[in-house]
Amino acid sequence: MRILLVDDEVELVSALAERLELRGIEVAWASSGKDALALAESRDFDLAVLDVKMPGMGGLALKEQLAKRHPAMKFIFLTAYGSEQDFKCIASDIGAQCYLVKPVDIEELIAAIKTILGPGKEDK
Amino acid sequence: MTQTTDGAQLAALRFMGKVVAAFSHDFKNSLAIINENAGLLKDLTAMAGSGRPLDPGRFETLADRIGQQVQRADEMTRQINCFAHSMDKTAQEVDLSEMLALAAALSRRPAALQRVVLEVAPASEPLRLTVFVFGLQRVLYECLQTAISASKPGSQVRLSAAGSARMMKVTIAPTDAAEKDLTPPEKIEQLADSLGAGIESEAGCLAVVWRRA
Repeated sequence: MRILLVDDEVELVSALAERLELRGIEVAWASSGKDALALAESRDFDLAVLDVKMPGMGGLALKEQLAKRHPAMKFIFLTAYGSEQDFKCIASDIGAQCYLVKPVDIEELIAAIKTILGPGKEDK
Repeated sequence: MTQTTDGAQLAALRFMGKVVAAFSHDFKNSLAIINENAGLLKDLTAMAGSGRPLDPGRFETLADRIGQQVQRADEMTRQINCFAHSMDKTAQEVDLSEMLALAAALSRRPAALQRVVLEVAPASEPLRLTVFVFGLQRVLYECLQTAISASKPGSQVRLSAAGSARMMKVTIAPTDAAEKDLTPPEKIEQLADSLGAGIESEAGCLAVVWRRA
């Protein structure tokens, strides 16, 4: 499986990417919507993990752009929203397969990725 | 209680809500960075236990990152605490430059989302002012939102304070605004008036001015 991670907090996204890589997941990361789109132009990803609130292009606008280019791509949103309820209300409307509230539990994230992509993608 | 008072109180509560929401969001991000870097330290330690060589420099970098986020969160806590105490007294003597630093902190997140950097230029001398601090912060916040909204991404908004025997002034100046003239936010003119100040639109900037008789 190949994952695209996007969050404007570089020290968060780089550490999260390394932790996923240590668990055998192929990851590329970007700290802006623009950089993420550039990465997605050069290679395919099975799933993108996107921060909702980012300077410039936010996670929701980025998802729209990525989904246009890669219709099969799945999405998990990361949110720092204090209230999960707020995000739960809009998650299905924006086409999120799943959303997680920061700070993220790495095992919970991996479980979500595997559930969304299914067992077939694990050994890819 | 009149309808006008209700509206004014609601607007003040909304301002507080926006500030607290922005701070809690940034605070969550700091905690998330600490969580991931601490998790990475744990992962690397576990791998060392299985025979993978340890890199002390890597550990130091991760520990430094965690320390920096603790400092960031500590500074945010200090700022939100100052804001919380801004309502303690209806009149309090303050230094205007310190008020600008707090105003910049309260607008840090909305500015960052627009990719606008806030720069504070403190006055060379202390500028003492007796004012309702919460009201002053709300006036500065609304003026800053106007300036941030007018700014192009990648530009700055400069906050500066100046004073003389006749007046005291805070200037909020975008370095690269889409519009030449900024319209003062109407909704807080009455509030500025209650603080003894006026909001003026100057060449490409907004000014909050206290004139002495």
